[in-house]
Amino acid sequence: MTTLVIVLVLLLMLLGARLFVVVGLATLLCFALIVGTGADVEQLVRIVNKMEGLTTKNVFLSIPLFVGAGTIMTRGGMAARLVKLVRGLIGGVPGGLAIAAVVSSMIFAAISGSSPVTLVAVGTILYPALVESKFPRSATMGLLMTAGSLGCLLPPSIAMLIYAISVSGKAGVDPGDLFLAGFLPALGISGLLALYAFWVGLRHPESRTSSARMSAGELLAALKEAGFALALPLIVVAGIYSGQFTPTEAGSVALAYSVIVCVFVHRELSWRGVYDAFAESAVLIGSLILIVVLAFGLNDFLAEVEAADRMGEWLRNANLSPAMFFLIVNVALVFIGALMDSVSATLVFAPLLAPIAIDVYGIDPVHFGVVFVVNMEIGYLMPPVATNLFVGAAIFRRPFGEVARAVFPTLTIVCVSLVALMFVPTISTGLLSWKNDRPVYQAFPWNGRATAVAADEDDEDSSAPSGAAPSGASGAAPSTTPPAGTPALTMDALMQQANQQNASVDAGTKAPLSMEELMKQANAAVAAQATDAGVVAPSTPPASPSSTGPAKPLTMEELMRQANEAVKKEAPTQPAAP
Amino acid sequence: MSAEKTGPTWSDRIYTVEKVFSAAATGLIGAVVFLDVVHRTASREEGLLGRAFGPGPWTGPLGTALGIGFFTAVVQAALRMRGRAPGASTWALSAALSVGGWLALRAFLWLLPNGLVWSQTLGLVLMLWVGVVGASMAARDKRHLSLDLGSKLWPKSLLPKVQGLGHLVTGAFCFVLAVLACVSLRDHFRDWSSTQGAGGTFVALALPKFIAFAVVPVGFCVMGVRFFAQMFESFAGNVEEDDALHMLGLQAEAHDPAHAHIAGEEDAV
Repeated sequence: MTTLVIVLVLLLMLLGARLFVVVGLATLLCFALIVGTGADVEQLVRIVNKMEGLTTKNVFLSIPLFVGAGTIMTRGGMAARLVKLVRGLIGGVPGGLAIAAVVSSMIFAAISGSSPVTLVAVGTILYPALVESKFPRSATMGLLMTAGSLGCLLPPSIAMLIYAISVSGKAGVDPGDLFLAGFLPALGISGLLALYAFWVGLRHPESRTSSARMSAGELLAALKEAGFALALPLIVVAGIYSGQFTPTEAGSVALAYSVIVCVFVHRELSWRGVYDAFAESAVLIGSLILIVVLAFGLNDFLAEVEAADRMGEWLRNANLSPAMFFLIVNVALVFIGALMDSVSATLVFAPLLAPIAIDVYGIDPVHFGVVFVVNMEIGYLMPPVATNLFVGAAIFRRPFGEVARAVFPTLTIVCVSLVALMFVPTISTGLLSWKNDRPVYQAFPWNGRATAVAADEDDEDSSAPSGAAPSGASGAAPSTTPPAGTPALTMDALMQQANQQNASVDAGTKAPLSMEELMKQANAAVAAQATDAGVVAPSTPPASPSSTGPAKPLTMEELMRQANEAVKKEAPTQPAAP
Repeated sequence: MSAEKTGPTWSDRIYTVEKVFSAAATGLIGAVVFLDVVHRTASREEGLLGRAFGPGPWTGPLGTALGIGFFTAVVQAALRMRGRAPGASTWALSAALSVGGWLALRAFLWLLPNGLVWSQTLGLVLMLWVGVVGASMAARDKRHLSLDLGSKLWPKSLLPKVQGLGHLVTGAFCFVLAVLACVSLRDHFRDWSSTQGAGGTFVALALPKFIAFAVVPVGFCVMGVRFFAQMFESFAGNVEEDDALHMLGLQAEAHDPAHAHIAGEEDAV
């Protein structure tokens, strides 16, 4: 039966059927033939229920909002202002214009959240300028296409949102955490790309002489012009991390801000343009939503046949080290990313691989999420289904083969960065740990298998919250015994669960997210608990739940109960007096 | 596409309605969720706007004055970017707009003391509608993603037939989904009618689910018809273009004037 399904999927691909049909029919056939529902309509209707189920997933709301905001900003000319500013700032150094392209791509990616949109917006402006300045065409194309793909790693990354949506349970991650974790890898990769541009610029001094330089006055004018565009990523990121709004709501802020700025301040977009941009974003959402929903159905099938468990069991028996597992997964993901659209690949493979990586190999969920997304970023650049290469070939008007060859050096840079990222989790989790007052350095779980199993046993007692920190820093790396001073009661975990609880409670009442209060309560409870037990708390609580010590720090249930009660109490009293 | 025909086809007419609806719904989603954020941040002291404008020891008249001052400066910068000359009149206009905004905010909080508690539920329902309508529009625009291995492997003479078959399968699948959606709709209607309207609705929004989900079968039916129409086009010999910019809807952005002068001399593709 499995062979029949595979043959049918291949046949559909050869017929050029739309991706949602391939995923959807495969799902229907899997249920009908493998699970054995046959043609039972009542069973098959589950696939449509998945679509209706979207109305219960708040995080999904962020997709139309960010897609809409990205479309408005692309059409509203924000990219041109940013490019002008960055060009003025660093256009004079060797390869300066190319470095400006990398930096502009990074900033614009942070605004638009989409790699192809970034490539088109920045590439169409800077490609002619770079070629005119005698910067090598091949390096130009490679840099622009690769820098454009950085949109995957920067908030509001659609790829990260999709990852957070598709992975749940113990492997689940908060989109806000993922956004923060992607920042340093994006910075690192763009830094290496800038170094490459600098090196190419040094080897081609003729490109330097023709680079435009700006006077101080012109630079100031460019800064003023780009001021409102530059403020947006700051508002979004600061709003999310200061707790003013959730990542989902940040989409609405980005949308409202972009409309106001593009229509009223820059006046580069008419209301007709806004209308067209909204309709355009609806088409983008429409082409995305069917694949997302039908892939959810496929995930249901995978859960039904316990695919993750079986694969996990196989991987356990395969006696792989976490490093070997990670390498194999990454090679596989690069190939998957090359063959499948990144969204579909994330929806199908992230829920399958993430639980194994976390449960069996003790890899941090956030770290795994970032590595997964970097793989998808590489997928944007790997033929045959390399979105950025196709877009690049179209906007540069060069043959696909030439474009594919041009991306090779920069693709190598990204691949090397991926390897470094894989084995140094601090690159991804460092900022998050720092934000949550945890030790910034986090070692790779070289012996993660054994400790992951031990952690599983502990989890049965501790009921540690999902996706955060079962028994180690930031939800994973339970590979090493946490050092003395590592908080046993991870506030981050408590925050996440309380947030989730709050989200479900506030479905009807829209309770305020007074996380500060919850944190205070939780901290006080920990302190009291530690004092009772005769240890210093909360800054230096006992090492871990499983370690010896007088304290019984695993009172997450109690803390959660307190937090939940606080949320419930607060929910009806939210309305404020005008 | 159908633009070459003499007049608008049925598909074009439906497309116009879909476009108006999806644009309005996207704007509405953004508006209600944004207003909810504004309400929350303004109605609580720990909220950013609440800290600036709300009641409290620090946030009283001084906070209000500072908040209005800050927004006046922002509006002033925006007005100058629009080309207004700096001067007393511009500052006065900025201050007037900021005070107007502050008054509107107070009126908003007074009118809706409980905020827009239904905003996210409404947003999610509208998102479903926008998604389904957008999927139907994408079917008309030929913008649904496909792996499209076929166009690279099949001989050119066979390509229209192969693409036609692909459209046939896609259209048929859409109709299967439409039937399944009707079954689901029937179940939701039963839930609603058997409880005299008490059940089968959303938690924060008194909207029956069978109404909210009615768009699903309708949307799939329209998509199915569109794919069947494309099947006939393909069997008639029309081959779809394999254009990444078109698939991603980025043609408009790619036609940048900065690119135009160089494209002509390097049109290598």
